[in-house]
Amino acid sequence: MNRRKLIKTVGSAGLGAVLAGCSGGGTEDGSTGGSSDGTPTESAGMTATESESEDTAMSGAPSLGEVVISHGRTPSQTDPHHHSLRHTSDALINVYEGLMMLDTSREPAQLVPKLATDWELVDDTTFVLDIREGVQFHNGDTLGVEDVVFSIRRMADPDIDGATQYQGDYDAILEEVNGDEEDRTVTMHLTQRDSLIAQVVASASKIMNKAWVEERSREETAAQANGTGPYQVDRMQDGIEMSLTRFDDWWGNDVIGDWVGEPHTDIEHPIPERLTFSGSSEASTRANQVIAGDSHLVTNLNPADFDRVDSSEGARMKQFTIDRTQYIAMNDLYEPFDSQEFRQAMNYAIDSEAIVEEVLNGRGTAEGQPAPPSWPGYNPDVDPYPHDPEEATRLVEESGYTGEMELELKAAFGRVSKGRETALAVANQITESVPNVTCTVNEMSEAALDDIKRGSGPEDQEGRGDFFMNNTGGSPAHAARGKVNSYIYSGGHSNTFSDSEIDELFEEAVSAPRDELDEIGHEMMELVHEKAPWLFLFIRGGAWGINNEIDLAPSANESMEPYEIHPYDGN
Amino acid sequence: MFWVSVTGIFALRQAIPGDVVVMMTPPDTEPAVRNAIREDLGLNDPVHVQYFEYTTDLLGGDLGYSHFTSTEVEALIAPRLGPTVELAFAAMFVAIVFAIPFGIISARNRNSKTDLSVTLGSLVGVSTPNFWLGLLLVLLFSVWADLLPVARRPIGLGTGLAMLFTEGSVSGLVSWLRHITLPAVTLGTYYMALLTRLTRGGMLDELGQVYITVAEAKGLPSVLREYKYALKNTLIPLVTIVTVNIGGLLNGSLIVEAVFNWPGLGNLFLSSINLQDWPTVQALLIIVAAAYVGMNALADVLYTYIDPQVELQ
Repeated sequence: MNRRKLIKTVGSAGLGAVLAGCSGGGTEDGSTGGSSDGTPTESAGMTATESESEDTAMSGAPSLGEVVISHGRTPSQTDPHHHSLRHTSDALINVYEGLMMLDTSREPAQLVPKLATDWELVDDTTFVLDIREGVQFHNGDTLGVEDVVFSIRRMADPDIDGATQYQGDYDAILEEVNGDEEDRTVTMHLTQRDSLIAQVVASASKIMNKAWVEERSREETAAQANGTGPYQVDRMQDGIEMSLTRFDDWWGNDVIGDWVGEPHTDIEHPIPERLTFSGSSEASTRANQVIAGDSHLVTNLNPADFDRVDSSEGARMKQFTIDRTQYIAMNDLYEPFDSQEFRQAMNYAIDSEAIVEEVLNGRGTAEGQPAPPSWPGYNPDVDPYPHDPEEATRLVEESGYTGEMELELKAAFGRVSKGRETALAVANQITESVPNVTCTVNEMSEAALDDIKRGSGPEDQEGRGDFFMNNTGGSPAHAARGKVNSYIYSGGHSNTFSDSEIDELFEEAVSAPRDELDEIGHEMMELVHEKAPWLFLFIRGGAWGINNEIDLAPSANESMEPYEIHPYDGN
Repeated sequence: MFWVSVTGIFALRQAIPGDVVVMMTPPDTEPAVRNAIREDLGLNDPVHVQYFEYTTDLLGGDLGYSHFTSTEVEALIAPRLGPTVELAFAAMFVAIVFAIPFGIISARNRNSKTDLSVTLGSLVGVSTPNFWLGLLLVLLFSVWADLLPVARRPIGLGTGLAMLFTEGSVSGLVSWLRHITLPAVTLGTYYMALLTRLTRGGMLDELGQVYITVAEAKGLPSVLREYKYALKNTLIPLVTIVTVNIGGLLNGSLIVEAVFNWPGLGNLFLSSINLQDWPTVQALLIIVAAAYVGMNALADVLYTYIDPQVELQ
């Protein structure tokens, strides 16, 4: 591939990654086609509740018509491998499917089959998947093993269409992948034992049609779509709206009852006929849209609008905890953060529960570990650091950093709600709690903060900032590895911490049998809490406004499956 | 002037912190790869070389590539032009349709209660922030009265007209009108107030001129005096304001487009800034400059039509 093409493809993946996700990107946070108006009450031929469709593909129950979903941003493109914006994923999850899915609505979260019917780690370095038969792409092609092999290679190998957001998932573990069309199996050869390989594959296996992709340029795969999912892209307008229509030959129509299983066994309704994803950057506009019935579901509402939405006749609020951790990194290559006592003191100096209550209006949960509660391996016995100025002062003295000092908390506020207020509260609390420390906030642009979060790349801990606020979300993972692998393990791509005990435990977790992993996760969370590489703040809360025409349960990663959307019965 | 703007935009990009290659690449990209990309993009070249390449591409019509959407910037901007043009002209239509009659009525009834009411209304209109007015109108007409939609533009004017002529259906046009009404009124209110003030002031000036007194002495009817002569002369400064402000509106109204989720250039500008999509931001800034220069030139041309004393040289 030529360099120009590489740059374009690398760019699309990387920029998305920065903005969205794993390292603190956008949390806040097409055209409708065929609709005469686009609103639920006026859309062409159907509304969310009035469409008594003849289509009874799944159960014979009446179908929902068009469901309009408004996020802070619009899906940016249709290539499932070359973006990592959450709002784009929320739309494309309906178009491109993975081999398995981590169902976080179960307790504990559990992998359920999708395009793979079964999978097994047959020996330390061989992972075999059985590929489902009878699956059709939207263009009518049948899913073959070669499509799965091609898709995994495309995600892992930058020489095929450029670097993707999933490359890091496969880089260290995938040696080769090949398939057997007769047995309908795909075999992944690993460089080392990885007990979480199934989970990695679940989050990084959006399957594309090999022949279809090879006939198209990168620009075309970013503007068109051909997946196996329950919806096909009807119309896509960059940054405006993405409109999906139901794919009636979806394989899931025949098996959804068995496939979904508990707790979804009460599903007795077809999926909506149409999904429209729209972006409204103003939170107050989203609130008005759901109250007035212009949108059925709006995400990331401002606390100021909660009561208005909840007390309206047409809509209601749903608040829940999401998998996004807000923290302040303390780079242990720099003074005074090279002292464990000092880092702990910073944690004792702040009152994270008060920040959640006062700044976030209770929309979050104070935490003392990197993993969110929904992840396997989360340690429920690790509490947030208590607010204890005396202990903070004592620890600072013990650290030896007793002279007057000024800390500069670097932060950018464009991507998270209440970011500025959070940073100021932290700075004030540190200044008030520890007599010899004055903390100020240095507001930076997102671009400048991205620079200091990443340095020049992996293995450049020195190039990263000393003290900066960040948030991290991403796909559901395991506490023994998720977040630690990127930010706290010394080999992480954005690490600001190096500690031999944590490294050792992390490396043990990589190859540990699955049944030992939860215990390692607990130990990891306890160790990280004690070493305090971060100033732990909170897990953010999510807030949806849902129009009373539909109902669905939020999940911790804020994604939504179409079969979970059903008419609201008032309960 | 246009080139000064282009140079300023280029300089702005150089001054803003942040490494574009860091933003472009996944976190685990090796430094060597990043450096290779920097080299290929020409970011390691001296600034004057970068400037030359940038302007050369621009002259060739290449606005750049949006890495965020994997799209050429021209393709990203093209579908946004229609909504922005629609909104700009609709807002100006709302402004002119109300402003000129109000201004005339106010001038003809100088110092009356009507004049005071119009003046007060103009003052409020000029002083009301767009975002506040937009939210207020949404609350009144969408949330409470349920008369108009809150946001979005599912059907464009072109599609609505196509539906009318090919299918004989007015539903597309009705939908378009319903969706554009609140943003157009929100955006047009400021200009309505401004033009009302200008029309009133201009009319008062003209009505006090000697030629109007002479016309009156010669028995010319008041309709002709006021509308054929006084109003026409009043229109000259109005043309300047309208054309220059349409130039501004064509760049998209950031706030109104955000409040109403109107898919125009303003909304794209906001999202591109948030996403640090610099090629798109640069292209939009260039369009801003071009629109201002173009509309100023158009205003000069229109002068010659309205005022025979003005000649193009």
